[in-house]
Amino acid sequence: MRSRSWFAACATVLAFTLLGTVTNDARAQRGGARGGRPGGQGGGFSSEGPAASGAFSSRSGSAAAQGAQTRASGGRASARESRASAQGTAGQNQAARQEARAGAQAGRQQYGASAQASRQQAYEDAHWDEGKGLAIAATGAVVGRAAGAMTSAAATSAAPPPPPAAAPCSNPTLVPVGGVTYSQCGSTWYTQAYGASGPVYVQSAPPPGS
Amino acid sequence: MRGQTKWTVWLGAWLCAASVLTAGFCEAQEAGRSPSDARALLLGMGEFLGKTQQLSVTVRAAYDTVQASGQKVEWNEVRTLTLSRPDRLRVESERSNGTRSVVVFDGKEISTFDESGRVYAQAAQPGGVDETLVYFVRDLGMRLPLAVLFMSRAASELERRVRAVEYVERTGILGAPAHHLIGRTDTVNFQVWISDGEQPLPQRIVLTYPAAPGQPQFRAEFSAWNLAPQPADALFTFTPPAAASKIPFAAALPQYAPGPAGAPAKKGATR
Repeated sequence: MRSRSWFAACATVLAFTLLGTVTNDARAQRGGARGGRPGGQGGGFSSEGPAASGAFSSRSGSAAAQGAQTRASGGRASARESRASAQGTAGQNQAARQEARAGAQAGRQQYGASAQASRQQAYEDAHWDEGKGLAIAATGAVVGRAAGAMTSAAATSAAPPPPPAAAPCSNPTLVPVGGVTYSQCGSTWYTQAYGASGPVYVQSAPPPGS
Repeated sequence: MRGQTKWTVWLGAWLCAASVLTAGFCEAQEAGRSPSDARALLLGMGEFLGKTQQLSVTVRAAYDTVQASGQKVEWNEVRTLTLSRPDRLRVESERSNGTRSVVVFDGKEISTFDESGRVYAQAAQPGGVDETLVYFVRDLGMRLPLAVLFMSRAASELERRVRAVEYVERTGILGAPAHHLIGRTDTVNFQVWISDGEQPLPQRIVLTYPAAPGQPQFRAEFSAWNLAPQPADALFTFTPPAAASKIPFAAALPQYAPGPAGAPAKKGATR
């Protein structure tokens, strides 16, 4: 009778131990899967940032970031001049002068923009490893040189949230078009693409013809 | 007998003096040479790496990312890089979360394959390793830490970027004699331990990003350097595994964001 009680007690302890192990495993797997990849990328912690590039140049505090600020202030100055122009009085002579000034201003702005683009190009060629493209591929948010200001702003803050490595919804509608598979979650479309550190889902335009 | 004793004393005294003088001379030479040669040591490493036609190395790296909470997370990875100039490169990586990937450049195409997701991306890239590294990192936006060191023009890339470099000490703490240097570029502070000897190879590198929030670091230790690996051609051939899907590079996708449309990734320039 006594040995039967011992057996029951031992069996109960063993069952709880096994149950605990299974629960812990499941929890670990759920935690790992939060990053969307096998083993997870740290359960949703960002693994992107300036140090991820392992580069000898960085967007943080770089001339490129300063250039973006310069461009922004240039834009503000331009807006002020536009407002001043709008307040000009009527009159043919004045209109002519205004026109001439506007023409000269446009020329200067065009030259300035061209020179700025040229300087920017030279800078990026010289600091090719600084991770501008990496920021783009990591977030999937922006592509192209027009995004300089956005990437610079990103460089001065903490690491951006990681792009989803798994489809953003559980049952996306898959539409293959031209070798690219589009995933639809609600009204939002995604495309799987190779990001800086592996495959990610980036928000995209709807597939052609949809 | 007395003459022999005197001779022995003189010999002993001479040997003592000689050893003291030699030690002092060596120390003076080391102290005098090292600080002024710090830049030369750094560029010598770049020159040596750039001229090495074939190599393989294992790089165990860690880097910090600063989270929105302000807390730092350290990520780890191991890369094995095999290089055969002018136009062959293979990099196998394993990240701390267990994901494995491989990058292969065969002189015509660059391919990257993610084992976990069974997906790969490919882009045409005729040219050499130098152009490919630029295209891969800058234009395709892919990670390849310390890519500068594996270019044939590593020395000039370092020379152009490095604003200051100083000699810290000679050390054997990493297992082999090395020169410990510190330096900075416009945006990155770095430390490097370079082997002291005929092969000035990096043993360890620490990069600090002082302008970034939390001043994160990238740290790498190099091991298993092989400067005559004789890799088989197959090592630089990428054959998509069965059931693997091809996906585009994220940077090559047309822009989708509020605002003006951007351009897809341009080809790497050779500068």
